[in-house]
Amino acid sequence: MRRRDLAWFLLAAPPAASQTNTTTAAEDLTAAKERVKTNSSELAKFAIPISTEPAFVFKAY
Amino acid sequence: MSSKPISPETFWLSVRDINAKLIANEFSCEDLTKAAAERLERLGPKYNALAHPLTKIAVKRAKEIDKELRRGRTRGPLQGVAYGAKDLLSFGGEPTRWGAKPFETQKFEDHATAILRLDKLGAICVGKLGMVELAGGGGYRYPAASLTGPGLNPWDITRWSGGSSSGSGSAVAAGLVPYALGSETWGSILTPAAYCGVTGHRPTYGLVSRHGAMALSWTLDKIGPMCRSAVDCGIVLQAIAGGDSADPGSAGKSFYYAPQFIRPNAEIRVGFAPADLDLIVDEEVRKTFTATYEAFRQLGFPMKEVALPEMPYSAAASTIIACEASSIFEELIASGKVDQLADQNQIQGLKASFDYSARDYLKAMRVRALAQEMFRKLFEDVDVLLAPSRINIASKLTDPLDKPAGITRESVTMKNRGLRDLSAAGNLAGLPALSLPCGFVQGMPLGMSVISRPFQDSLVLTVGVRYQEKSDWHKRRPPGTE
Repeated sequence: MRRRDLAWFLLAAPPAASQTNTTTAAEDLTAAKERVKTNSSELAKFAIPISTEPAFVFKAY
Repeated sequence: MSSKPISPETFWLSVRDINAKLIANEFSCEDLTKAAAERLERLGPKYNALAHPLTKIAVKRAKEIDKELRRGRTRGPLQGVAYGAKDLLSFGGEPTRWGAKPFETQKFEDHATAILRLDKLGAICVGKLGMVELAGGGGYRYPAASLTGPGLNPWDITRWSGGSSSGSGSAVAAGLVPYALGSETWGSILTPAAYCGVTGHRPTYGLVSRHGAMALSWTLDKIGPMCRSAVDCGIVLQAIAGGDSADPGSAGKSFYYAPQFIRPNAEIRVGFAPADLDLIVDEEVRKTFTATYEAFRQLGFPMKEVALPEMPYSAAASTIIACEASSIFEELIASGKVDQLADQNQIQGLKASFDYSARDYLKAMRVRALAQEMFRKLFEDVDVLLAPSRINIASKLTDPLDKPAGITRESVTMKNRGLRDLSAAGNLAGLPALSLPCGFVQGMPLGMSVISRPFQDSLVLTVGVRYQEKSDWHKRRPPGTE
């Protein structure tokens, strides 16, 4: 065993305490899709002057 | 030259002091690098901070530096000083895993520009540091969302080191490397800096090249230093900043760390928002931030209360990141390899990002334009903003990050919005920020951020330097560290 492997073996962090998901993947996907809708509607209801251009720059060089 | 033992105290010195000892031949660069790499390999796993050691390459480079030093060839304060880089930055020929299982065998031929620039100045990268998988772009629920495991905080390993530059924060805090490179899209430098009690600088967008760095959001990603002082941040930033034609977002500007040219404190107007503290549940946390505001007042900075106007900053930032990430990781998501990621919430977040429309993205970018205009006006009245980096100490490893409990009093009706949206708004506008350790609660560090106009990085750093000349929070060491 190399010294590096031994160090990893001896000093590797203790396993983190249980981090159990209380929701299923399907529920998380539904919630994530809901967040997309929330962000979208929050943006949609925010009034912006028609003259406001998006804040990105394309440099053609 | 015979080998000399390196005192553990060496690893806590500033980069200038370490470099001075090398030049004075107190020890060789080879001995220092061997000791630094051994320290990182031995102690890094204790905090899940090490993603990949670079010992052999580092020692080879150190021998070259020794030859240079013997010839009297000096390259500035970073020459011969070890550092670590977030595993989001490519290091030619070595694994660059982005903290994520689907990329665990990934290698690139070339160094990232930031690593290349440090190499040219003689800095020595001794290891790649742990990070949240894909810099957390999908929205993760637990600190364990990483190939190297949860980032453990050197102040209390039952708590998180923050993310996504987790290993960079904990490695610097634990004295494993004098400084590290991190990256921020939205909070990924300032959060681990605050939680780990180190000084972290988020440069102005476009100041530091992202070439060779994993892209999460082309229009928001920034690479920056995480150090043990604002002075060191200035030195490292000067090394890595500058135009780069390989980075389409590069501003083409250089940065020179020259605090001597910054005007006196009495002429630097500081904007702050005491209303932000009304939200905080923990009385000790509120007292600490209040005391920090007072410390800035005592330093002679004119203080003025300010507030950000109401805008959907968080919705805009979330939308931009999700839309850009959904394009960047399109193949990962569409192929189903995304399911190999560690965090279920992140997996589903990335999948759901396909639901955004082009209209959403453009609206978010238009909000961003308004946010930039808003900051232009705000910075007519003040020169820098002061706001808590995070309004809580580091969370427990088992606490879900998407539903934090007991941190804010959302029931409080605020007179104004204060600066509570500054994290999202500041990143949207590409503003420079510096997180400074400013106190401790329950033995855990807190951080205060200084933010300013684009390309006022020197001002932000100088305000930090002047605060750290009168405080010692940044000099404290986690208990039990060598």
